[in-house]
This record gives sequence, structure tokens and C-alpha cells, in this order.
Amino acid sequence: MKVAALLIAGALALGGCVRVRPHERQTLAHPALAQPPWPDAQAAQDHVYQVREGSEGAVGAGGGGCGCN
Amino acid sequence: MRLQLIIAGAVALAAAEARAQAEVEPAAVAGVRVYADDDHVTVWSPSARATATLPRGVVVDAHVVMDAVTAASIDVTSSASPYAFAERRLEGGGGVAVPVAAQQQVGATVVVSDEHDYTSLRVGGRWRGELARRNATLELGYTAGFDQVGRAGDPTFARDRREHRGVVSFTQIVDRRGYLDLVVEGVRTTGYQANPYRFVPVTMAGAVAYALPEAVPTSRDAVAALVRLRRALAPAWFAHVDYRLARDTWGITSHTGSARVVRALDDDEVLLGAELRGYLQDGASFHRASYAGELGAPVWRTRDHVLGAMHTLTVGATAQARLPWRGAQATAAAAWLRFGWGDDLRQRDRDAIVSSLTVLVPL
Repeated sequence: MKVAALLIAGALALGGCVRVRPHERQTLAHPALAQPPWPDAQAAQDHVYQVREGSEGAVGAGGGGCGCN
Repeated sequence: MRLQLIIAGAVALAAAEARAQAEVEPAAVAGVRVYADDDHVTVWSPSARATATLPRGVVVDAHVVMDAVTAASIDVTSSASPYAFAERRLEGGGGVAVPVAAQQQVGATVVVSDEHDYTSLRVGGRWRGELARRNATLELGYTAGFDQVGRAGDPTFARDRREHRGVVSFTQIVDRRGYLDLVVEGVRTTGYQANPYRFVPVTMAGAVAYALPEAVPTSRDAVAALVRLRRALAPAWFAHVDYRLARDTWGITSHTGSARVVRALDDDEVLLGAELRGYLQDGASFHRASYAGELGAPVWRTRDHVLGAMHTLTVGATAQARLPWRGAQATAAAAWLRFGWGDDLRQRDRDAIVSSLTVLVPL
């Protein structure tokens, strides 16, 4: 929890460090930089990890619960 | 100014334009994913979803997915039934996102899942805002889960399971070519969390004396934190790297690292990706390879090797291409996964293939 709190505080402190103007964001708008680049394919893998591994979270894998074990 | 934002605890971050565009683009998506492993488990999952934009920038979405499972896994044949089984899970859900102020958005989602022995309801809400002239994005989310666990052939068996999940996501533009993501998620799960079909053998003097129903603690708190860097390496090369640390009150600690490289071809009409992921986990404090009953029956006992020391290795590839029809886009992905369990007496490792094919049609 302490690590998580430090990460959040550090992230908030980062906010505003960088200024990239809208006309400079052509590369940032590339679909390969989207997170994730292919959400449906990623969701398929994330569901498997959610069922087959003991940890979960922080990866955006939503969806419904299941009795999959 | 920066200190004020930290104290307020409500920082709005600029959403990535590509991500924002992908989320609001009206589209219909249909696809199928397949999971198959060398333990005789196969899952086919056809799915469909649609996203539409209403007046005033309101975005609505809906999805449906079905899991068709056939299994003769050692987990099944050694615990519940000597025979293979087949079952179906049906999931449906919807969501809405509404702009509420300049560079702020709120959303809500509902997901319902049903199978013959498990019913699940997830209800969630989120807030997203931008800050620093849209150079950073903050998103806060909460989801409540209401599950009921049943047991096939036993209509009197009904156990409740509840879940509360909170997530904080932060994205910062680091320069003209990359983003930094930080995600922290906490989950509290209470209620029945065992498997009603699993029985745990208890040994006496080295031999199995009897078996007891699986029993695990009824409360579990978990937290996971992820840091990710997304960056353009060259005009047509991109990379994502991330690390996640997760811990819970059952004693499980895990480390996950992944790296993805994406190559853009044909004036960005084609994207090719390759991924490598590694996962390493300690076991739960009450997980044992076997349980001895000389000092009495163990209070907590499980045969779920997911709760033991384990590791996963994933190697995957994805291809996405624009189709010559209404601007449609097809995505094909395949990944090989190897699961390994250090102290499982029945099975040391398992190989699996996860593949998917989806077609997106702009509306």
C-alpha cells in the first residue's frame, strides 16, 4: 500500500511537468500507441490470466465474474 | 499549483488522443476467441459489441459474449467427476459515458454473467478528467460485484460472494513520442471463494485417510500497481513495456513484466505486434502440496494450484489490417502460454493457446 501511495503521489507530482502542444502530437495519436493497441485481443488474454493466475488487477480487465476455476 | 493539485487529490490528466478516439468511435465489432490447452480444456467464445455516439457527446456501448467450455482436465476428473463436462457461460453488459464539464467525463457500466452454477453482477462507475492542458489524464473507477455460487445437481447449495474494486489510473505525456501510465487497483472480496466441486485429501501416516470440502478464508484484500511506458522508437516502430506488482492478504505476491513491439506498415494500414510476458507468483500461506491430518483437520485447505507457487510465460503475435470494405478493420492474434506449478503433485506444467479474430466496422 505504501508503494501504491508513493506511486500515486509521484504521478500527481509529474502532472504538468511536460507541455506538448496539440500540433506536436501527431506521433502520440498513432493507433500503435493506444493502450491497448488491440483491446479485443488483449481482453481474451487478460481473461485467461484472471482465471489461471492467483493475482489480478491494474490491467483493465473488466467483464463479469465466472466460476471458471 | 502542483501542491494544490496533490492535496486536492483530484488531478485531471489529458487523455491520449488515440485512446480517446478509439473509445468514442461508433463501431460494431464481432469476433471469436479460442482457448485450448494440453489438459483437454477448450473454450470457444463468440462475441459482439457496439459503440454509438449520441447527441451532446454521450457514448453508449453494449456487448455480449458466450463461453462454450468442454473440459476433461485433471482438475475436473480428479475432484468432481471422472467424466468430461461441457457448459456455457453467457455475459452481457452495457455502459454509458457522459461529458459533464470541460475535459471531464463520467461513466457507468453494468455486466451480468450467468452459467448453470454461477451468477454474477458487476456495477461500476468512473470519472475521467484532464489536466495540464491535456498533457495528463486521471481516471477514478469503482466496481461492485455480486456473485452467487451454486453447485450442479444440488439446488440447496447457494453461497454469496461480494467484491469491491477501486482503481486509479494516471497517464502522462512524457514527450512528443511517449506516455507514462500508472495504475493502482485494490480489491476486497468477501464470502464464499472456494470451489464447491473440489475435495482436499488429508493424509495420516503418509496415506490418504479422508477428503474434506475445499475451504479458504472468506475475506481477501488485494492491491496491484502497474507502471507502463509507451513510446515511438522510430517513425514506424513502437514499444510498450510494463511491470506490475501485486499482493494480497492470502500471502500471494506476484511480479509481472511484459514487453510489446509494434511495427506499422503500408502507411499505417497494417500493424504487426509481438509480445513477451512473464509472471511469477508465491503461493498462498495456506497452500500445501498435501495436507497432513495428524494434528487435526486443516482449517484452510485447497487443491487449487492457482493459489500455489506458479509462473507463466507468454509469447504472442498480433496482426491488424484495414479491409477494403466500409473502412472495416480485422485483427488476428495468437499467443502460446506455458503455466508451471512448483509444488503441484498432479501436474507440473500446462501449455495453452489463446487465439482471437475480430472484425470492426465503423458505423
